[in-house]
Amino acid sequence: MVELPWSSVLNRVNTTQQAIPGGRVLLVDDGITIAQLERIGMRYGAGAEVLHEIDLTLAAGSFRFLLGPAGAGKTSLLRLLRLGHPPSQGCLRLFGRDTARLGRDDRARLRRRIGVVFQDLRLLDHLSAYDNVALRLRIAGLADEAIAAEVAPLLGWLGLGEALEQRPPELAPAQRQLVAVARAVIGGPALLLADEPLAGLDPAQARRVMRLLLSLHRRGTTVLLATRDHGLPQCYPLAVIGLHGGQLTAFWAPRLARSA
Amino acid sequence: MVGGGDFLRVELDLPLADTGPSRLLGWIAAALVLLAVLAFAVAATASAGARRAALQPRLLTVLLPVTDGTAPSDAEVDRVVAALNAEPGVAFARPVSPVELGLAPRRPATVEPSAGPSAGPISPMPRFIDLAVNPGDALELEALNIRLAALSPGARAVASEGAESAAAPFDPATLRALAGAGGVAALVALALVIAAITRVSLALHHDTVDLLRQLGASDAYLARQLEHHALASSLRGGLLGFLAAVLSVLLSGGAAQDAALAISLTPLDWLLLGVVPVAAALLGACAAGLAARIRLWRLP
Repeated sequence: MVELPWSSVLNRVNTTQQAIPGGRVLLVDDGITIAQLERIGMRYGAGAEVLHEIDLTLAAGSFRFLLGPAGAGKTSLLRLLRLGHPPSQGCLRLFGRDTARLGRDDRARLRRRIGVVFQDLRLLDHLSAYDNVALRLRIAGLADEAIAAEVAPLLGWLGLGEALEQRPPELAPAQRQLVAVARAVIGGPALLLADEPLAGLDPAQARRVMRLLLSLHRRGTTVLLATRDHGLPQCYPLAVIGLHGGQLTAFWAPRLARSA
Repeated sequence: MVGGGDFLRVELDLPLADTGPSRLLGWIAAALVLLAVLAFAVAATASAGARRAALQPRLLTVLLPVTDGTAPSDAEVDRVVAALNAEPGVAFARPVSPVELGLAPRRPATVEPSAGPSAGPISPMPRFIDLAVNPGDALELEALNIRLAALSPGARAVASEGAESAAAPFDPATLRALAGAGGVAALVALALVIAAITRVSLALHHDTVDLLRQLGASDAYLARQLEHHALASSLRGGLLGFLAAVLSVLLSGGAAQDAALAISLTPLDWLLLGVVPVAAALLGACAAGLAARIRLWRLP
């Protein structure tokens, strides 16, 4: 592995369209910047900074692992990117827009282009698995027929075809994890932020989810997958961003790693 | 059921139907719509009473007093009656006979043998004239009294207030205003309660609201959820309150001893009262939407 300044390396994106159950085709031109963080700092309330001097660019169609131990700031970084918390310093640009200057409706519009797998899942217990997944599409204003055409096949592909009407408390932990992943990827977001999306899954389910994420990536979705599992990047030849103590520590690109 | 049934149930992203304040919304709407409908029913009844009173002629009495121990003559009475009938706005004027008043002069039996049957009345009696003024027309009493005194010394017209106050225990216009204000106050109270419940609901479901916003829900989307919930709950409750009000009015009609105290409504009144629960629901939805937007606007 070669440690390089993260911004000097960009993956080339293969935008080949592959069938993905329930997904929509999303093509993004290679080289466009989806997210750009410049000297970003972040703190909760009056507490200490949890992210310091973060400089990061996510190119359209890239797939990055965000690797770091617990407490490294992975969840905070994803929270920042999903516009869940403002930076305490620096500039964050998403889809070419300075997030500090976004109006409320613009902010909501941008969030609709971002799929999120939350670390704590955040499923709504009063809704069925189907409705939890359909939520993003309903918020986006899709008709019921269009929603049904996407949600049921995706949940079926994930092995949840029998659990469409079950509510999260009635599902097994792994099933809940799959529902959370499905909610994040439904509709083919432009940016997918996944916080430990494989947690609690057995190896077969984890492979299936990774296949789903890679398929989405091949269609042009930019993926940032946060994990503390060092074994995961070794299984998939994708770029890795290291984070430790709230600071970016390393960037590994598989192609360069091989050459090293 | 107002709180837990499926009637008018809407599927919402926010679990509003599962929390205490929101479950109470239907019952609160039922109670306040009941009050509003009853108040408006009283106002409608009072309004009808006022209209009836306005359509009836106003009655006055003209008194021709005894002057210098002499009772007014029939010719004098006829002159006054003719003059009154010529007054603009007068529906009719007619003399009241002493017999009608129960004042027919009688000679004491002890006097009759010596005085003889042809003897006149022992004491002179004043004369009275009934005067009816057309509805909507007004008479200047002071000017009329001056004209009457010229025709017959001391003659004057007085309003028959005793009869009017016996007919209506309350002033219809005041009652209508008070009852109408009560109905409006009940609806305003409903709007305020719904706004308060909306604020509490948003606070209780803060995590869900935050999640929906993370998924891209705009303030308008979230506010619509609360509007739909308020609309459905208050319409369910409002219809129940309206039915309760109908029963109350029907029962009060049967139980009232005095017809003047009973609520009596025309089909048009009932139709207008039927609009109250719908108006309450729309008002509630507006209140919920406004309260939600204000609350959401304050969130980062």
